[in-house]
Amino acid sequence: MAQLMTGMVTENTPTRVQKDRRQRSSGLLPLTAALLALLWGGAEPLYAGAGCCEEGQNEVLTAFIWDYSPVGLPLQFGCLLSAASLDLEFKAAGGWAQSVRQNKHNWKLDWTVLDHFGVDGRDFTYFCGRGIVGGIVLTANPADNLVMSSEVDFGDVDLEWVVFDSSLTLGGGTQAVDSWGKNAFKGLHLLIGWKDSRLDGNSGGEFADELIGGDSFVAAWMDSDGGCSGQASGTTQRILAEDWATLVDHVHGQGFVAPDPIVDGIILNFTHDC
Amino acid sequence: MKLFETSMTFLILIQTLSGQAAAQERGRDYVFPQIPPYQSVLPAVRPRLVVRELPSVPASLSSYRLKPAEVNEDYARKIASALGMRFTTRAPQGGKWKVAEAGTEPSLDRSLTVYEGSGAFTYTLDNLIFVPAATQPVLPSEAEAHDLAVRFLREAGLLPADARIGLDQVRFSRPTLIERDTREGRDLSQIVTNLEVRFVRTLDSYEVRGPGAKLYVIFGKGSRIVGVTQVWRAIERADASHPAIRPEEAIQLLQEGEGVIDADPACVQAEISAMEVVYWMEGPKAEQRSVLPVYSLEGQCQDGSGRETGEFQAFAPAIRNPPVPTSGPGE
Repeated sequence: MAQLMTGMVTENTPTRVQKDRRQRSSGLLPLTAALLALLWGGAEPLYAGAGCCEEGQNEVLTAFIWDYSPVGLPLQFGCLLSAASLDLEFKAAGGWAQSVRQNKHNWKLDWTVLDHFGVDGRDFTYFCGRGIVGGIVLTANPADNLVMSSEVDFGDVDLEWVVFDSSLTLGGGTQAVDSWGKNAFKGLHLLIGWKDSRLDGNSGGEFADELIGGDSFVAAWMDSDGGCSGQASGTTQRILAEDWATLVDHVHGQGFVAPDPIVDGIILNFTHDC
Repeated sequence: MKLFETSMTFLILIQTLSGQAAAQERGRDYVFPQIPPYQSVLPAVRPRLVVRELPSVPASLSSYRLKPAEVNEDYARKIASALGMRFTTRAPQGGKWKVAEAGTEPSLDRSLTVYEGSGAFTYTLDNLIFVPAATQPVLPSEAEAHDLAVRFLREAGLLPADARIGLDQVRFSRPTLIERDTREGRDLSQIVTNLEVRFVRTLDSYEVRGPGAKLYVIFGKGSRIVGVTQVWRAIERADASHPAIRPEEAIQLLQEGEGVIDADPACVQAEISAMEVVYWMEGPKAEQRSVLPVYSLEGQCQDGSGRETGEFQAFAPAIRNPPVPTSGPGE
């Protein structure tokens, strides 16, 4: 699948439409985005492990990609806004060790074999970028740019909640759900994302605003003033949960958090239309 | 934080200018609303579109001017009062007025968000909405839910005059929770947690779509209303009449890279099952001033061998700029 994707997005001779898209994305936009990242101050590239893995500390990782040019796809700025807003909400809440990775500094290893230094070393990981059914698309290595459900095991270190704010990542039928269920849930409480394609907007910031305001993860994602606020009516969300108790989890400091669940291969699959 | 917000504004401005410049570069003469791109992995080349039935479209279509939202404390207070809530907030934060009211018991805790940009609001019973139950809650029938929703909105003074309220005009949505054994590959139970009544809006008989076209009443256990969402900007007047782009031209524009599409990377051809004119309304945070028509296309993607690979959706330009009026003799 990774090879297929690579072939699709990088090896084809650019067509007129591709060139056209690249032209539209060029000029001031990358400069502006770079300036923004600099001003934000949280978006400096961090090596895996920075701000990571202190026992007993609340840790959040904000991972996002807006520059998909390394894999031949247009720039999209919604994730920059989404990730920055989410990061600022956690900063305002206080009590969180925060780390941020953007663009090519999101490495596949951090999501897979070295995830104990990467995503699994945090309590909460938020990813915003492009997705496909059963996976997310990274840009660090165009030859191997997908993280698929079959390659992950979350929660065997510290990770409790993952948000994939990316189109279709939690989409597909029962086979796709089973793959996430069997592979990702190794202590993980909730896997949150989209069954459908999402519009490029600030769902992360609105979601975090509700989460830090005291909503549960499920309510913050599904509320029309949360994760749904920038999405058209009918866009379907999906949340996978290890058990009933984790479905009412709040982020640390804002309410109930279930004890780490028993991994039994039985999960809950909650779908909702925005 | 201020610096960040300023730079965000700068980014949005640059994006807008860049989009306009791009359209001018190619000499296009159409008007297209601010529809964000889909965050998916698109095919390298836009798929060929096969449309079996083209919509019948008049020679001209209207754009509409929206009434500027005057969302101040009085407005937010009025919404809170309509929902029977005490208004305790002093100032909006991040473009939103937020009201929270603790009930005499946790199940009665309520909250309200009112958006400054649009006047939209979200009302929830925080400990009841989207809360899973291990057994199927008793929910109202569709007819009961429809009747209760219309009555509730009308009595609260929150039913827009242009909402389509017939039982056959509303839509129903059911958040659903499935307990699944992923090792055995079978469902163990299925619970519909809520029933949502969704009202449709039309302009000139064309449906209004997008993140800014929402009016929902959400029911929970025992037919209790556990949430209301309204994003429904008021129309001030028809703004201008625009020459309509023919459906064939719109398809051509899409294939040339204009408009917005969502398709999977393997999509070589899309069989379009529905093509229609809709009006696009932006999300609740946006200060939208006018509403424009676009073509909406939906269908199925196919790869090179004709195998279905996923859903296809797109929005294509539907109108041109109005012709510049020429001065008559003696003027």
